[in-house]
Amino acid sequence: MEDHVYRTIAELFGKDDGYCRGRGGSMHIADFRIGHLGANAIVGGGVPIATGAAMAQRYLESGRVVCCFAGDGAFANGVVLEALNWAAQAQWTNHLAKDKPFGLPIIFAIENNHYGMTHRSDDEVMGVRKLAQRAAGFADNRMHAEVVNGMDVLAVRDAVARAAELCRQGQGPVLLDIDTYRYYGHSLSDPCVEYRTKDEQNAWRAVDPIASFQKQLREAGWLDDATAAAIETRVRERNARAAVRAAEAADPAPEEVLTFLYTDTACETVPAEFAKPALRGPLPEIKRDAEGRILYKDAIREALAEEMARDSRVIFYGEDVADYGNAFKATKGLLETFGRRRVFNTPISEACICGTAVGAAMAGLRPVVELMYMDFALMSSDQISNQAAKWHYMSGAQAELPLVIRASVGGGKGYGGQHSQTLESVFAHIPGLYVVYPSTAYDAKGLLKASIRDNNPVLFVESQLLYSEKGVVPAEDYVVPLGAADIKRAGGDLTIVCWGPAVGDALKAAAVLKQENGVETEVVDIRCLVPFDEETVLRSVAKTGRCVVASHAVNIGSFTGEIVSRIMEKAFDELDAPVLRVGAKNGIAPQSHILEAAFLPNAKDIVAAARRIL
Amino acid sequence: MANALAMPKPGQFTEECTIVKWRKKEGDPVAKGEILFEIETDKSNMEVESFFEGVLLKIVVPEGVPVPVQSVVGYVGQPGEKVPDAPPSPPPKPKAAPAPETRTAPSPTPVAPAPARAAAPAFPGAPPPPAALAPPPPPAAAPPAPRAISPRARRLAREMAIDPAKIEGSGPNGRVVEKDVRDYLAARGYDRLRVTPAALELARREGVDILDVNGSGAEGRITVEDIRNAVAERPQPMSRMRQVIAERLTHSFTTTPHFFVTVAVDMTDLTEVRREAKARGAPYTVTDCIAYAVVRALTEFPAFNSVSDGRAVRRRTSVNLGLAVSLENGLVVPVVRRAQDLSFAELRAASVALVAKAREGKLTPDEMTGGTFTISNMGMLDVENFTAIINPGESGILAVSSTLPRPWVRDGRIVVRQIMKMTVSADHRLIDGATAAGFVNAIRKRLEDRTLWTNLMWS
Repeated sequence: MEDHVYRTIAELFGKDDGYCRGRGGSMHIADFRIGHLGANAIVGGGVPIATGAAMAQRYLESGRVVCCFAGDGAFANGVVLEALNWAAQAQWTNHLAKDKPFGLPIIFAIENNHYGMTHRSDDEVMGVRKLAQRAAGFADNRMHAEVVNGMDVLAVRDAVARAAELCRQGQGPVLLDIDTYRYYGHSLSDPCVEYRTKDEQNAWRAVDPIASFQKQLREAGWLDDATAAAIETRVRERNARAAVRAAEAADPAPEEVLTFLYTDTACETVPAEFAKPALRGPLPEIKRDAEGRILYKDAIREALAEEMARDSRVIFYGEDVADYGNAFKATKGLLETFGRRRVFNTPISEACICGTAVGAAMAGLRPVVELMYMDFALMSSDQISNQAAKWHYMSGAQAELPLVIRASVGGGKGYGGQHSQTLESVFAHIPGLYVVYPSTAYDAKGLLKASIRDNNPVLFVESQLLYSEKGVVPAEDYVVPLGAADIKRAGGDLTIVCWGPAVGDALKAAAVLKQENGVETEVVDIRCLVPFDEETVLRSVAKTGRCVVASHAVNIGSFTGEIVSRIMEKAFDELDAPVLRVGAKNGIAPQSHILEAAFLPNAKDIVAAARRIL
Repeated sequence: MANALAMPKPGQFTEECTIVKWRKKEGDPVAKGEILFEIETDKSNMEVESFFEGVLLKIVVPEGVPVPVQSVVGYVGQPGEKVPDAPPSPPPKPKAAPAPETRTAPSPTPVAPAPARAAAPAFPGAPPPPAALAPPPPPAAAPPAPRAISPRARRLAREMAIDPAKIEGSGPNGRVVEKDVRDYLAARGYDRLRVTPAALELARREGVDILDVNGSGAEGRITVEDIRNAVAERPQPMSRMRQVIAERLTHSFTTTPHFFVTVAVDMTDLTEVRREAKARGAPYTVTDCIAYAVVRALTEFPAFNSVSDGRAVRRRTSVNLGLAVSLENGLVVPVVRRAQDLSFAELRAASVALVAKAREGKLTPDEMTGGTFTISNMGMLDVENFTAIINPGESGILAVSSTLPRPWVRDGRIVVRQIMKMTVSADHRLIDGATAAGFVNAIRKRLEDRTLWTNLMWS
């Protein structure tokens, strides 16, 4: 216990001996060794993570139960309500679960102290008198919701024991609305004078759980004054010792500020218990043409199928991915091969799709989830950016998050402003994530397999424009390493750095430049924005002295600017001309095909840019 | 309100001045009368004092930037006082300045604002340059835009130790790109160049264009020694003063038809009279005597005190005598004004004072302009004879050589006499040979007049 107190205080002090090596602090403290998956500084942000962890317990049949702590304030938050809905889905327990119906083993423990920061939940910002009522809206069994006297230690103990037992029986989820109180302000600067009365505070203090519990023990004859005093002294002295020791402990080394940002591990060998699980049927058949070519979207499917057959920890879920085989038929057949335990539809709940993946990954699975359109990543950006990207670092590398979020870009199909965005640059700006964007069927398969095996969270971007592009893809197992650019065409006169659908544009432009200008263009497909293969780009620029950087993203804030900046910084003397960018116009994707053609960049734009610097 | 410091107008005709050195930094305390900065004019440097007490709040015009006179160059005030964002406009310039004495004939037609000036560095609030008093300077060709060169091409040029400024660019907007450098190297036969590695390294470091170096080593190999020589021979920019000299004298010598008349002067008597006077404690120099003789002769030969532009002749009623003074790094010509009104002693006193100021670099522009005739004396330099170039705005200059013992025919006998040659340069547009001969002999006769010098030096 003393070591626990010491490591906790050390973390509060930002020391290297802290639970999170000084990377987390009080708001993100975690102890994964004992299954503590972290405090969360985003109100409600931890609830879908807990739900994902419960999915992992269900899937792994561990018999363990997840207890998810969140305050009354969090139960007004969208992702929390989404998580309640998620946890109570019928498919966990009804005929869809076939032989293994089992409710999610999770207890939503509301630490209901009746205040958010200062707002009153009871009669100000919510419309139910008891938060426990919320449960009725999510499940026919009302999640076995209970209101618990949180000031009574034994009452809480009993309630949690009942709830855990229900969960172990597959009757989860359970919701406990635990009445308690916060004696102090939300923070040191809050004297609690404006929003509540002294009388109220005194009334709650009169039923203080420590004092009440002592009284119960004394009445039962289990505790006398001397023992109580001795316990108090022992605890006080232990805490003081731990605090002094923590204060004197070593600080983290400044040069290690970026240590733990990424893990360099990957799943090279699948542990025997998860390797080569039994399948429900054969792998989906993917027809190759005479030259061995398949569609880009089939390469995605093949990669998923191969990795799921390789490792039972790989599960796949998203909106409409199961029976329907996703909106683009890119995942058709996976349900039949792997069953609904591993391939299932989800509610339209992007934040939960990503958030549960974070929790499932923390708890030992290797989830692959799908966002139907990349635009929806903004719906789940907290879960991607604040949770998936950050937990390896914030936990001081206690947790690895081997998860893949697949997101497809709808640009070029006339879907308008909310279904067409090329947003990978936004996520490349969030350290902690890998961002991958294949341009060919071959790369799509190899990169997706590598992403699934990698132990970092990967945002895997696909282009719907490329789904029907064909390429030669070996039927056998191979991976394309993350962070390795690919020279799609070699040349000595001009470099085009690009990714995603811009690669095809660049290759067309290169052909035009060869034919009309006699220029030999080198097309460098970076394939991954993060990790970025700077070396290959710089080497090409050193060879050619001229460079155009192209993507389908709008230019403002695009990763193309980052690449140009690195070239300027590290290869300035190699340049024979300014480095130019080609991207979409700084605007919003319009619906009209005429307008969208004017909006998106194309091969002609790349040729024009190239000619400006030739 | 902080006090604005104006660029002074050191000479009547000065339009533009450059601060060559700020003696105070922003924030330095300044006492009244303390030197604030030094300015450079066409002729010399001048120190400028503060009229104000306080702190130098702001320097508006940095060193090295020519600005119109009366422009605000900085502010002195109390610490923390606010300085206006844009300097206030200077007082309006005086109207219709009188035609300058020193310039050639005024332009017969009003001069439109010179377009070249419009492009001159504009300081906020600086007045337009005064309407030209003389024909405007030829529109200064816009300085050649620095040739654009890509970083890659520049690096290659640096590696090859060649000057990329000589390369024509074929890139967008004429940018020199790598290919241009390679083509240039091929065209110049760079491959056949033999250079020792150490020489190449030195050439890179020193910025020597290796293509301009002739190899002295075996088979024409360029050696370190060759590069060192090239560095030593590299053109160095001339001082502002030398550039002004070059410009003015080139202009004079190429636009004024010079001719030269030389006489030999028997200085024996004058030398003796000077020696006697010196023994009495009244030292006069040969230059004093020549100056006096020249001033007198100029009143007799007004053509030499006039100036012509080839269409008109302008007489000057005043003799403003220029005395060429050689300095370590050039030459200045202080001017004794109204010399015809000065006695021999006054003339000597005036010239001694001016020459001393010239040697100290303290002449004001007004003391260096307005000359009507100049004497250049190389007597102390042991020369037989030389000719001089007429100063712009004048029509003659007298080149005075050394006084040397020479065999001389006197009363039918060869004797040793102290002989000095002097050569007048004359502007043939308004002076003919006979006038020049008369003028130079009038000087000679005075110098050989023992009675004259005896009287002058005793008086």
